[in-house]
Amino acid sequence: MEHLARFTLNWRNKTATLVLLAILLVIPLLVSNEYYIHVLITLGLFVILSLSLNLVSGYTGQLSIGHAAFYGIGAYVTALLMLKLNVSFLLALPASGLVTAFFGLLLGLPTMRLAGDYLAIVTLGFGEIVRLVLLNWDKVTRGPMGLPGIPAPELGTYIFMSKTPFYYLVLVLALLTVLAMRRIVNSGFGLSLIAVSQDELAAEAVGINTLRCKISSFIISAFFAGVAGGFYAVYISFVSPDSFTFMDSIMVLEMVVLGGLASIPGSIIGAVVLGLVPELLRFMAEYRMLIFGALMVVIVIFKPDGFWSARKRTRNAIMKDLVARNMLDGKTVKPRGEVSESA
Amino acid sequence: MEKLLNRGVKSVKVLDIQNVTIRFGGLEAIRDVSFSADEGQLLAIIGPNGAGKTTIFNAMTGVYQPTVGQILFNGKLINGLKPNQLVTMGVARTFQNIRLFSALTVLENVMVGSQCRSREGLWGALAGGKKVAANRVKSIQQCREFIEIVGLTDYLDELATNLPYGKQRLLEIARALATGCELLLLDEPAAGMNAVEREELVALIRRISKELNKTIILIEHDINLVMNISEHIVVLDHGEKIAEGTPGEIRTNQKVIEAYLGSEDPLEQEVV
Repeated sequence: MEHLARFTLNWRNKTATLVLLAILLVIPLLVSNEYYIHVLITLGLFVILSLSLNLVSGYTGQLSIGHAAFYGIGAYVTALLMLKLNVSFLLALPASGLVTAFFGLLLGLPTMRLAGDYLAIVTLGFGEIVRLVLLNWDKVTRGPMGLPGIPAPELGTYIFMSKTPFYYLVLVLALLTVLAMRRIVNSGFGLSLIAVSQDELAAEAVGINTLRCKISSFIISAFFAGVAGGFYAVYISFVSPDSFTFMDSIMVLEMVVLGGLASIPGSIIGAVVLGLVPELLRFMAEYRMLIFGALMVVIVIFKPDGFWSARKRTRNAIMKDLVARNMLDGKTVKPRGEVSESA
Repeated sequence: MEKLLNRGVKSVKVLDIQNVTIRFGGLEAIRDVSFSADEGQLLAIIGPNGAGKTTIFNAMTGVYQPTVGQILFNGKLINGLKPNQLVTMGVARTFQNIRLFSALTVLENVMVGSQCRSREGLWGALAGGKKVAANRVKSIQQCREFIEIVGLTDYLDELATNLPYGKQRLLEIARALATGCELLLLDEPAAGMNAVEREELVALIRRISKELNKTIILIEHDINLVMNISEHIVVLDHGEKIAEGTPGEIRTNQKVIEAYLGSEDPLEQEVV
């Protein structure tokens, strides 16, 4: 009976995933309006950004409000590599991820001494410094004029001309991010991150190098944000400091928090909803941000844990996976709700 | 002379505290304290409130550093090492005020404990594969064994925060054992437990000591419990060691009696 239930559940989950994937794959064939595809591409970018920030702020519990800086660094690295050094996109994208990861390391270092609000101030400062450097380092970044004319990506002889290939590219990047995050979070390392966010002293006392955990999560997070930035650069083919401001950092943080901290589906839903609402309200012109603000307040009042809050943990995901693969028995465990209180 | 003889006969001490002094500014929390634990020994540290028990405990686990003196673990100097480094060497602890990862399940708490022995790391997690899975199976099975030992198997998937208080203490012990420690430090393991739970705890500590052959050092206020299970007792008062010996010797030690409010038989009083 239990087997059957498990089988049905797995089957249902798998079917749901496949259906969703199929829909995502055929959308460009059904939708001809370029604007809709553009919105979907930006949603894909938001998904990568919110997932990456979720690792630092949701799982490891380090409040960061400078995430747009990583996004910006990634974008500028790709733009500069392609414009000044004629590096191909296929090399520039991972390179921008790696360079941004290095900046993630730098921002991770202050967590040695700082936590909570104080760390948040440092990340805020980091975001502003990066923006100001981009704005004032004329020789390299051309300051407020930005870097125009970033060439379209080429895969072999194929050149990205319309929005459709960009859509598929961002889809692949977003799916890779989801997969990577899932593996990271559902591992011993992922458990260590949650342990660090819960109680650092206890984490140290069971042998976790908390500093290394925090820095690692900043590095991974920055890597993905940098890749998203690299994609943005070639997609828009123009980068300027205006695109990576404090407000963008806040926006991504809102996606993570309203989606539900430490929840992968939460971050995705948060990115989709908060990415979509301003577009849907576009008919209201300048009033839309007003409505947007009011909506946020309503959400926080009625859904304080987010749209898809990290549900109460039950069976550990690693164990679940191993049981599903018949590598481990799940017998010794009583089903939930049968726990008797013997005092 | 005595030291030389000891060195010749006995094996290396698991833990050797040599003339340790710990100062916080002008306050001397621990003054020139020395004692040691042999392999497999069950040693208790007792003393009135403020005697410095937890301070010396924190020095053993790397939270504080001795101002003067040395702490040796298996003959190696461990002054200056961080708590997480000590855990990987084989020193694990529990806390006086329970510090579990409350949002994680019972199994996950223990898995976090076993994490320091796993060599999976981030790349292993990302790559996945058969070998990683096989290691995870082994690790989870070990964790379940530790959970079995402390008797929490029925609660495997329960959140740590939902456990009754006494069971939370047991979970902390399982988590410490999962680190693969050789030396287990228990900071007031019986605090807040009722009589039945205490009895179970005594049985458990005995089992860990005898069957798993761990060296155990515990701080405890419950004198009955201490006299009942420990093989060796160190008594601290005002940061100094005032006595050391078997439970029988401590029971009759005049200095110890004085330290405990100077009453005729303090040990009886403490029991309540």
